[in-house]
This record gives sequence, C-alpha cells and structure tokens, in this order.
Amino acid sequence: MEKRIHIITGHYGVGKSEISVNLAVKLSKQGRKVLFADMDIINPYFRSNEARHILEKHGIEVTATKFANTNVDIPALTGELRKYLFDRSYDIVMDVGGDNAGALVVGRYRNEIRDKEAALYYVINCFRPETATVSSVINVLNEIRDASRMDVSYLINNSHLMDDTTNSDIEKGIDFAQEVSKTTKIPIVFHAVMKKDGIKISKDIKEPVFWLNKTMTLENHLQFLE
Amino acid sequence: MGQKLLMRGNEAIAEAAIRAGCLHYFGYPITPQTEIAHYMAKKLPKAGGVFLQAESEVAAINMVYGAGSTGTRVMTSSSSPGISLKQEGLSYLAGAQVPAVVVNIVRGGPGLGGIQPAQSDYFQACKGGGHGDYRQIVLAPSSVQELYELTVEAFNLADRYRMVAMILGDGILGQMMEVVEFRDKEPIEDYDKPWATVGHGNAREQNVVTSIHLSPAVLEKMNQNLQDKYEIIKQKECRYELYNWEDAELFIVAYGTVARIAKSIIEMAKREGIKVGLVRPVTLWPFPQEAFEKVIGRAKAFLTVEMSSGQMLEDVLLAVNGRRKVYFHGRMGGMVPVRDDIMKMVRDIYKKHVKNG
Repeated sequence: MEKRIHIITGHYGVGKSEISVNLAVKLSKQGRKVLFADMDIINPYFRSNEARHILEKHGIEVTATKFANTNVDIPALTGELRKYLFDRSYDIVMDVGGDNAGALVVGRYRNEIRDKEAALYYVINCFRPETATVSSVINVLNEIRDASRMDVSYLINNSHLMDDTTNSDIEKGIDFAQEVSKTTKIPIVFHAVMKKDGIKISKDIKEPVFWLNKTMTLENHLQFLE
Repeated sequence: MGQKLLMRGNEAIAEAAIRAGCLHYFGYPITPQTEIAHYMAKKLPKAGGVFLQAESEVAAINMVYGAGSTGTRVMTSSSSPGISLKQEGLSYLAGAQVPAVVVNIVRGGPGLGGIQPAQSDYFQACKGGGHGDYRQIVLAPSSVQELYELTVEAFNLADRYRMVAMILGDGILGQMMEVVEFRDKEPIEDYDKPWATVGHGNAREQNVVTSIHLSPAVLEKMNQNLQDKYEIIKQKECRYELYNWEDAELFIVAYGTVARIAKSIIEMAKREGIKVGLVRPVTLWPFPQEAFEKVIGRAKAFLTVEMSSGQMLEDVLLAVNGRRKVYFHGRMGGMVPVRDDIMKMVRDIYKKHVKNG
C-alpha cells in the first residue's frame, strides 16, 4: 500500500475494529512504524483500544479517544493524533466509529489529512440489517463520505454471519460487494473470509481473499496475517 | 424460518417491535440501550409509525400511556436509572390497564451506577417499582434470537391481558451480536379493544382510560379484577427452560446472560462426572414454580447465580420452600460471574450433598 494513512469506516457493527487491528499488525510486520488510532466516538463497548496490549506487543503505538474503555460515555477526541498526521515517519491506521456520526472525526481532521497520503476504506457486511441491500449500503457510504469530507478509496468486503456463515453466504457477500463496487466504481481491496472446515470459495474472483482464523478471539484472529 | 441477519441485541428488539406492529416509540437515550431508539428513529417512520425522542423518561412513559390508551401497539425502552424514572407511569398503566411493551436493558446500580451489565433490577421489575397492588409480565431473554422472539411475544401478552409486558435484558444482551433468523410472518394476535379511546361518534358511551377511583369500594373491586387477571396469568403464562435436567443431581438456577454461563459450567461439570442441570426462568413474573416441581424429586441442592446481590434468589427460596438447600453466588456493579468461581461452588455443593450426602 503506497498510502500511509489508512482510515477505516463503515456502518455500525460491520467489523471495522477487527479489520483495523489486523491491518495495523500487517503493516508493522512489513517493517513500518505504525500508529494505531482508536477514534471511535460512537460506542463505549467492543472497541479496538481493548486490543492495545496485542498491538503494543507488535511494536505498534496506540492512541485513543480521551475516555476509551473508562466506561465514561463521552465522545472526546485526543489532541495527540494531529502530531502523527504531520509526522511522515509513521503509517497510521485510524479506526473510526460507525456511520456518518462516527465519520465526523475524519471531517474534524480533514485539513490535516493530505489526499495523496491517505486512503478511506469502507467496510461492508451485507448481513447487517441496515446495510443488507445495495442501495442502503450506498446510502450509508454517501453519508460517511459527506461527514468525513473525503471520497471512499476502497471497499472491504467483510460479509459474514459469524459461526453460521455458509459457502453460499460467502458467495452472496462477494457478489454483493462486487455489485456495490460496480455501481460506485470503487475498487474492492479484499474479501475477508473466516477460515473453517468445509468453507471454500469455488468461484473465480479477481480480488484477494484474507482468510481469517476460526476463533473469534483477537489473539487468534491475528494469525491470518502470518 | 426466513432471512438471517447479524444483529446487535438492541437492534433485534427494535426490529421485532416493528415486525410485531408497534406504531409508536417514545424514549430518551441512555447507554447501554440507545441502539433501540437509534434503530427506531431510522426504521419506524418507514413502517408507517412514529418515533419521538421525549424530553425525559417521565414524559416518554406518559406518552406511552396516551398512545396505548388508543389500543395502538406502543413501546418505550431505557436502562436502569431511566426505568426508575418511569415507575410512576408504570403504576398508572397498570391501574388503567393500558397494554404496552417496556424494555429495560439493565446496567449496574444503584443510583447513576455504571454502564456495565447487571441483573439488579429484578425486584423493581417483578415486585413492583411503582406503588399499588400491581404486576407486570417480565420476560428474560437469553440470546439475541430470543430478544427478537420474546419482544414479539411481549406485544401479544400486553394486548391479551391489557397490561405492561417488560423485556428485562442486560448490557451484555443489548450489546452482543448474534445471528437472528427471522420468521417470514410474525404470529401477531389481533384483539378487539372495545375499551380504546378512539372516538365514539356519538354512537356509544365515551371510553375513559383512567386509574383514579375515589370510592374505596370501587377501587377495591378494580384491584380484585386485577388480582383475578394476575391469577389467570400465573396459571397460563409461565415459561421456562430445563436444560440437561433428566439425570442431574444439582441444579443451577439462572436467567438471561447468566444462564449462558451456567450452560458452560454444566459442560465443565460433566467432564468431572458431576451431573448439573439448569432451571432457567424465562418469565420472571409469573415465576415458573412448575419448573421446580419437575426437578425437585431429583435435585439434591440448588445454586442460584445472578448478577445481583440475590434478588431472584428470594423467589427460588419460595419455590423450593425449604425442601432443599439453596446456595447463592452473585456479582454486582457490572461484574459478571466467572466460570472458575461458580465451578468451585459446584464442586463444594457436590461433595456435601451428593458424594457425602
């Protein structure tokens, strides 16, 4: 990836944090100096800051919103991020909260984010109720684009039903993402698929596949990068 | 069954309400249940309904009273401190016999407490947090699928008995994501509501939905009617799950999130040759006495586990009525019982009541 600022957005609950943590570890393994920014101002639970110890074990620096994991439900940003946005020695992964409300954070830093250095990713899960149709997924995409004041550079397909995912669900997700890509003319950077006995992709696809480990714990999840 | 979706518990409640024909939602945001309001704000208007963010929880429950008086399916939701604010309204709804669904996604208390899960509103939900001799049906789901199914059921029960049906969840159930498989068609029960205040067009006497009865004789009669209704509900509407019970010697009693932990304890105990069963009340009021009658013959002892100081415990003690020893393990303030602590108690109880019993 030629860009150094990776901004992960998407609808609430599509898997942004897991993708963000995985991406940060991958960049770190490629020898980059990485900053991970948990910028979720939407949900006080299940946030990537909980994976801080895993990230730090990989030599990744972490910054988070002021009250992350304190159970104080206040959407206060940190002043720290700005300095990293100007320091070109860092690759930055920004995990942003759900929907356009979460993407406001990107808009807040828009003047410090230079287009040629940054990529905005939009994560899709077609099994989430509010993004289960192509038109609704594009509606949310447009709302996020407007709130972040930034065009979406790539789609990430993370369509799944957790342990209930079948081969036909995976194919449905791929077809769905490809249709979104065709309609929006935004390329798919990869399809994330949970590794499991009997799970395979029989159809030919041009985009890469990331095989996620079966176990849902973050620690095991990271193995797919190795 | 039909479409499968990956849903957060709170979203499943809201979706279920819309599918059940709920047309009015009044609420005020509070963690950990705000996704219900968020989902309703987006989707209820599209389903022909009205979402309204009230100025307070007190206002919201009184809007529920008003809308519910017309016989329309109506809901509000909140979390513990917000449900406390609604108690006066809940008592009025009970007195005026207005059907409504109320959701409490419980967090640690008392007071403002915290935002982590708890089961410490059991007394408030089941024993009446408001004033007067009243009850409400209390349903305790244990998965996101059940949040959906029991929310639909809550609307039927509310209409069937003209009263409040409460969904009592906790912060874990509200926030967790699981797959929900939706029915193609919901089992919606359609009741005549001759009492509803929907305009009489001078064709009949006006309907009055009220809880004020200044004559003590009239008020006592109204109370007796309520008690007769509650008795029918106790006979007909108890729901529970018995798990791994047929050859069990010890029984864990747990509901909601904690029942899930209990199921993993049962598997751990199995590997150690300890036969543990689960009694899981699904209706907390009416409390399922029948479940205890089914297992009391084989039960050597009971262990109640809760995310509270021991609130359901009192109903378990009443159900067991001195016939067996009842032990208790609880965590408070948003802490969740952990397997090792419960397993240690299971081993001790087994030693005392089965091995050397």
